Amino acid sequence: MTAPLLEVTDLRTHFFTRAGIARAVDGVSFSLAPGEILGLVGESGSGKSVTGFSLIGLVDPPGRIAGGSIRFDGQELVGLSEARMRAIRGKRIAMVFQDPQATLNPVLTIGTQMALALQAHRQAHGRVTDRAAAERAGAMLTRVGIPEAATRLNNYPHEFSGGMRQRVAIAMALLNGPELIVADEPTTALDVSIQAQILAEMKSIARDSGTALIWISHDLATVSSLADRVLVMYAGRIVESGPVGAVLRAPLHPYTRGLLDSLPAMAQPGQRLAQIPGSAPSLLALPAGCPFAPRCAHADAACTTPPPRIDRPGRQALCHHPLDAAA
Amino acid sequence: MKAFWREYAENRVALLALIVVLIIVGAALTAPIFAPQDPYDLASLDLMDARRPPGFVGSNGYVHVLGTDAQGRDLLSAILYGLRISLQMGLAAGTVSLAVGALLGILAAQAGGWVETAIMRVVDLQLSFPAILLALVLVAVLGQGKTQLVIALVAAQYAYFARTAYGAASAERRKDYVEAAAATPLSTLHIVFRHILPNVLPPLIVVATVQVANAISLEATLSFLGLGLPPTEPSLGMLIANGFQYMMSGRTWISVYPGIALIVLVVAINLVGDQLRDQTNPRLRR
Amino acid sequence: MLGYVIQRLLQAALVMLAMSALVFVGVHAIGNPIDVLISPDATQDIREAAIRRLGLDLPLWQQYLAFLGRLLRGDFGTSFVFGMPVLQLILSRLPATLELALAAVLIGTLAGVPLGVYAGYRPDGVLSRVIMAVSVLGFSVPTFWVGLILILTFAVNLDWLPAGDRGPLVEVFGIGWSFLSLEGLSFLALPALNLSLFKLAMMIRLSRAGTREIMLTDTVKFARAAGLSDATILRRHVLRLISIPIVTVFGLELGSTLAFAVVTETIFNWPGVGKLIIDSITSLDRPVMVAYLVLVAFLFVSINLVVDLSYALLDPRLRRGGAAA
Repeated sequence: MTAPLLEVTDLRTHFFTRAGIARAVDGVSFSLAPGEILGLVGESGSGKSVTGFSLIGLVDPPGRIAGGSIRFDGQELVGLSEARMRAIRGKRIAMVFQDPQATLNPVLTIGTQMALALQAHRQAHGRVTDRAAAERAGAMLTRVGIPEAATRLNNYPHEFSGGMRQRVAIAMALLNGPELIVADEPTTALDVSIQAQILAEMKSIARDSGTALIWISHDLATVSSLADRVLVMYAGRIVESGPVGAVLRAPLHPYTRGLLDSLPAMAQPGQRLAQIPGSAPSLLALPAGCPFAPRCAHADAACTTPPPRIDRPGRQALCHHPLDAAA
Repeated sequence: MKAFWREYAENRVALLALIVVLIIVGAALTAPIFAPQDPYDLASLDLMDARRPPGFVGSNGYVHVLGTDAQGRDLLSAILYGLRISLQMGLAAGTVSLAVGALLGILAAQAGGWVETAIMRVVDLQLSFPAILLALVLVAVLGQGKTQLVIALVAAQYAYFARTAYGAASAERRKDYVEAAAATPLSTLHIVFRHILPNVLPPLIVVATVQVANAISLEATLSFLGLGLPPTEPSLGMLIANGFQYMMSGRTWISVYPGIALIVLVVAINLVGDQLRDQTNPRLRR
Repeated sequence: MLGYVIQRLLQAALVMLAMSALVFVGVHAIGNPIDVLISPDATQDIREAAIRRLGLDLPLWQQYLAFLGRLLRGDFGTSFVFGMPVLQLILSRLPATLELALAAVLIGTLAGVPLGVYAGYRPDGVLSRVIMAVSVLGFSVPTFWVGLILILTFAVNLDWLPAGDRGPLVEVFGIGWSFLSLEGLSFLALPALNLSLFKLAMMIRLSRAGTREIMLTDTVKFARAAGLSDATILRRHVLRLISIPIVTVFGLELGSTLAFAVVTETIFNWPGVGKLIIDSITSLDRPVMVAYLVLVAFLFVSINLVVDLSYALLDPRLRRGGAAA
């Protein structure tokens, strides 16, 4: 096995609010091999996006990384100076956001915004002339499937459709040839048909260029068609991890089971979709034991204590009553 | 209410500003008791004492802490009485503007149709028109005097209240419970007083705080330009204007001390108003 | 779009008509229009001639039409004090006011926007608090008082800059300007600074609020994620995003600054239109007052019109409609 590209150990990102400390990410550990595609799944508020932003050092105040380690290609990112972090951001780790409508600047042309992203890393690849920047930007747009890329560079974001805008954002992420792309729900705001297209393209681009990908989504179905491995997050912790196929076929954690049962594809026609009862707990007041216990059908007295780590070959889960043991 | 006050007191600058406002209002109210001299009593003035620097001991024996003005008035007394006039004008203009503005704003929101269009068009036009010019023209046309001045100030300021009242009232009108009330045989007046007015008043009061300060400085500006109150009862602006001509010859105190009183008052009221606005603005709430 | 333009033009014309009627009624209501429009020093013969010439013996509605007609021709009568046509008088003072107002708005914008952007970028910094304190002062302290302090400090105590009059003028196209010579600039400095303080305070607030809002958006986060430095983000992204409201306000403010110049011109004895109107009010030079009123009303109606039309132009829905083709 090759050395991991990214190794996250016991990451804790907390939000220090007036009402108390919200432990949005609380002891997350995982690793990622070069070129691997990892799905990070959970409900909103589970800490999956905060995990993504922690990786590139862009947690909004009052949040900050309270502890743990993020090693990227052997280098520790936690506590790295802003200047050195900036040299990594966009160059070696790029990010794609949820809503391209909100991320692209509406008053600057696509070409300008891409040129700015290139010039931000001129230390890495020397001065970039305007023409060189335009050529590289055009090539990237073509690569993500935007026709007539050269003329499109002069267009403003509102002149693109939603799907095209997200392609532009992906092209910007690819611009500096990153080793890792963190994609935070990049297809959630798009039509289903365009979602599928972008997923397929994203996968082939990642495979072709050997770029590792962390795909953050609330939708287990999207992740299943894309990722090699999947992490399921709940209340700031990874409650289950393993190869996509194995996890989908036989989940260990009742929460993963609940997520699977609520997928339309898994249900029989005419049958009501299963729902996980209750809602995600407040991060300010987590129960002492397993945070999923109040919503869990398998919960008993043992669940008021912190759940143990269950190890299966290539897989892990945090649960008192893993589903394979019950069977 | 208690929570509101506690949040207010958390901002120490705003708290200090509130204390300053209260002290100034108190000083202005009690001026006839505490002022060393009655500045309107021309008989007590002695031209021999005119334009003396701070600390000068006057012919009638008492110390002029802040000096005297061109008529030999004790400047401290003149400032205290000037504060009275300035506050009087500011409060009168503020309350009348609030009443007129609230009436027009709510009327526009309630009546709708061409009444709404007509009122709000005029209000918007006036908002883009500098208040000082309007006041200037009105004073020039109406002549000098307290009533005329208040009319001019109200004409220059009511539009801010009308805008605010209109915004709050039409937002309130669209709410379900008001629409439900409108469907019942309750009179329009009842709806306005029970449902609309209580919701329109808080933002109006916030506007009023700042507008009182604006009225005071507008009055001072008009008086400074010689278009304000008659010189027999000098407001702060008039005192400053009177001292202006002596400034070049180094007798700066005649203008500077009334000026300091004016800006301390105006800035303090503004700070209180800013804090109230921030506290009542839901967009800034966390 | 064209329908909207026509509708707004008609509205503006209607407002102007109403304004002219108000001014006309004002002139006739305050007192005898003969006193308003004819110098009290005139002899009986001149009076009679003027009454006939101005049609003051005609019925009121005919007089109003005649008044309108004169307005449209730009005939505002003759100043009692200066003995010259009012329009010519006002136009001769206009360059001084324009120069002053433009200088003030430029100072306010060029200094206010960077300060405001900084204060919005670091809202809790010490420097930001100082900037905001300056802006609170600029908003609440009356202009005339600031002018006084400026004179006291820079003209009386330090004796660095002159305070009063326009100084030497450099003629261009027959119009004299102060800002074209160094000495003239020194005369312009204090009044322009005085007039700019309010604009400065406003620009600080505007750009601070805009910057604070934009810094929290995903646009900025995305730019950061691309590795852009904060300096680049502020310069290239934020400045560009807040520029739309700022340009609008810049235009609007230029108009109101022309009017606000009244106070500054009086304090600094700056021979512009504002000084002229104050002088005409104190010397009861009524034709000048009437003309000034009508012209200012016209100025503001036009500015409102232009702003409304440019909003319609900047409206993204309209813009998209044009660009998608």
